[in-house]
Amino acid sequence: MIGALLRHEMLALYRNRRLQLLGGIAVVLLLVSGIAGDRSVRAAATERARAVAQTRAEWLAQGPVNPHNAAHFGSFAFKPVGALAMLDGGVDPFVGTLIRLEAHAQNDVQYTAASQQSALVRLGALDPALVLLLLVPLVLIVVGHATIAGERESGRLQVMVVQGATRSALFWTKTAALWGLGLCFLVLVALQTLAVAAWTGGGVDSPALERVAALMGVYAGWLLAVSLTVTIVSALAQDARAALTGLLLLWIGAAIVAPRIAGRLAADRNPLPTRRAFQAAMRADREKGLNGHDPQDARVKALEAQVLVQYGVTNKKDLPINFDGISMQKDEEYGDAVWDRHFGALEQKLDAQRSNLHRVAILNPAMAVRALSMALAGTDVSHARHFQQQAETYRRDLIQRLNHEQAYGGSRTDDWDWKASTAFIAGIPDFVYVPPSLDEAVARVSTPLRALVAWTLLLTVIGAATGARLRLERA
Amino acid sequence: MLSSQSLTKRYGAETVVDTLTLHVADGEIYGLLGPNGAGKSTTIQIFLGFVTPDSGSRMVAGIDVGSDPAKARGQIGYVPETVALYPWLTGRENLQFFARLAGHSLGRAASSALLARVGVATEAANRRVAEYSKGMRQKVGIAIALAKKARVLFLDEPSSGLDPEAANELSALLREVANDKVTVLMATHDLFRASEVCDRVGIMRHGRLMMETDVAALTPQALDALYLQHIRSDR
Repeated sequence: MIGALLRHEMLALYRNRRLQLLGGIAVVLLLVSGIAGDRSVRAAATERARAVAQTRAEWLAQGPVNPHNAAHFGSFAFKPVGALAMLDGGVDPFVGTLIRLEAHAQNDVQYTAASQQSALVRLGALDPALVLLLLVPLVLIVVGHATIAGERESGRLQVMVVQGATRSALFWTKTAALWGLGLCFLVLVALQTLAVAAWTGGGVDSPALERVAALMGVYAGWLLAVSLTVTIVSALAQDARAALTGLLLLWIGAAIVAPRIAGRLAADRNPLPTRRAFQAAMRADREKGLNGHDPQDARVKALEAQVLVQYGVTNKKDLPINFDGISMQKDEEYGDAVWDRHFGALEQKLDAQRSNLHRVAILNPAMAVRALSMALAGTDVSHARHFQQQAETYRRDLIQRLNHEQAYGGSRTDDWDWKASTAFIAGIPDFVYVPPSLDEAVARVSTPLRALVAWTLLLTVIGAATGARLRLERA
Repeated sequence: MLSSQSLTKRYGAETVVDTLTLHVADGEIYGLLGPNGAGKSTTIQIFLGFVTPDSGSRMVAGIDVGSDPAKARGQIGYVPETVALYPWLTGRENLQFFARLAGHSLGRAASSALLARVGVATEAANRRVAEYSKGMRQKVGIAIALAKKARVLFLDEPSSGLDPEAANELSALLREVANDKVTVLMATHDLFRASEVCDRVGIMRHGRLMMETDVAALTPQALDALYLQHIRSDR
């Protein structure tokens, strides 16, 4: 009987004209977003590979160069753009995937609250994740709102039960059919992602596969929750029209209203400084420290006195090392401390915003899925910060090496014409970003993950109760 | 056969079925007559096990519906007033689907034979039900009950909206079904059809069975007069 019902539901969907139209539109959107994503990922990957090669070539082309000049020549850190970013662009379009690395110039990327909130904020950048998060549920609502209410209105539910179907079997087969429909879209996205990954990266590595699988798991859970909601509302509503109205209101609330309100509240409770204010505060603090470029700076003079004592000389010209390298490094370290303090405060606010948004996601599974999707695609704020922190660590190491070479590589104080060897310059490795493991990524979104699991379980329990007591007679 | 003993159903202060005692024998066609709101459809819903009575008992094919409604439904065929078929399926596909729910897998030949028996030709059987007249749908509805080998058939206003020819065909079909020892209970206010097809009728008003009579001895006019007499008795 279950098999007969399931086959029948599949046939019903297959012959559903609304589904043919809406499903067709959704598939076209998926394909368009996939093709656009594929092109953009391929273009970005090519561009990135060229930029990495060019950056390295330019770095090496410096030849023998003064280390401090090399420090200001700088370099770039590139965040890899893979197929997962095609699946869910996340905040990457807001915060970028490229960081300039230069002495005294820490990156000051700002994160807007908007980048963390409504998926509709980035409707212009339609990607498959958005189609799965918002548009496929809309298809399920339009196609499935009458799945029980319509059958009841027509009197078919009673006939089916008289013929031997149980209430629960009717409920679960209808839910399964809707979920199956949603999974068809999901499989399409999975194949698309893997195809893009294969074309762009010459294959999919194991961590990326793990993430694709986890993402598919999240969306499978999400589509199950949506299918259950559609069937439950259809079962409880007075008629099909009431079911459609209720479901559309739920969709608008979960997809548009709640994320906007949550984003606004999160931003209001923990406001981030404007970029201008942030830079001004950093500059003000920076100026309180040592200026390695100004030999007359009082703090430079104090450092110089210390070093002279250390080496037992009275004039820096007599030092066996280059004092400029030491003062530059002290300058850098002070700048690092200022950066750490200001970014620490900023990150605390971002953490607080994220916690608030995740707490709201407990009430709204759509927001939970949004957070999980970006996290698993490696395009959420946490990943952007992770990339930025690694780039900053690399930058500090790079500048420290260059300053060390300036100080102890064989030059003397004020000898700005001294050049480090080509071998030294070539010995400095490129920046290679190592993304966090899947476990680390998931740990940062444990609240949304628990929320999605809890919602799915809760809806399953409500579905079981609704199915067992399915009302058969018309209102 | 089917029977009930002092069946009563109330919705709030309103008694919609009032101490209904009924007995319909195997192969008998029983017409439950009465105006709208008399309690005919609720009576059928109670026999189907979809509405729980406040008191009284009912049996279908020897099974107590109250204690085992699913088992009782296994013996029942039901054709509602608006025959509930899928308009986007053909008549044959509808029959095959509903029969499969009852555990009967009908191949093409078996479904064609069954549909032919109720008067649906093969060409029509392969058309979508959306193109069917109400009479055609009634026939498929009855074919579904026959496929299930139901021992008791409930029909709610079966002749409503049928043209005279279709109604005649339906009457003939019901007689044929009853000849196979299937018990038929139909709720109707079509007195002419009731007098034509039923063996016995009962007249309901305000949930009460006002009277029962054999139809064989009555002309349609006599049944009409009897009906009006009981419906208007205390207006």
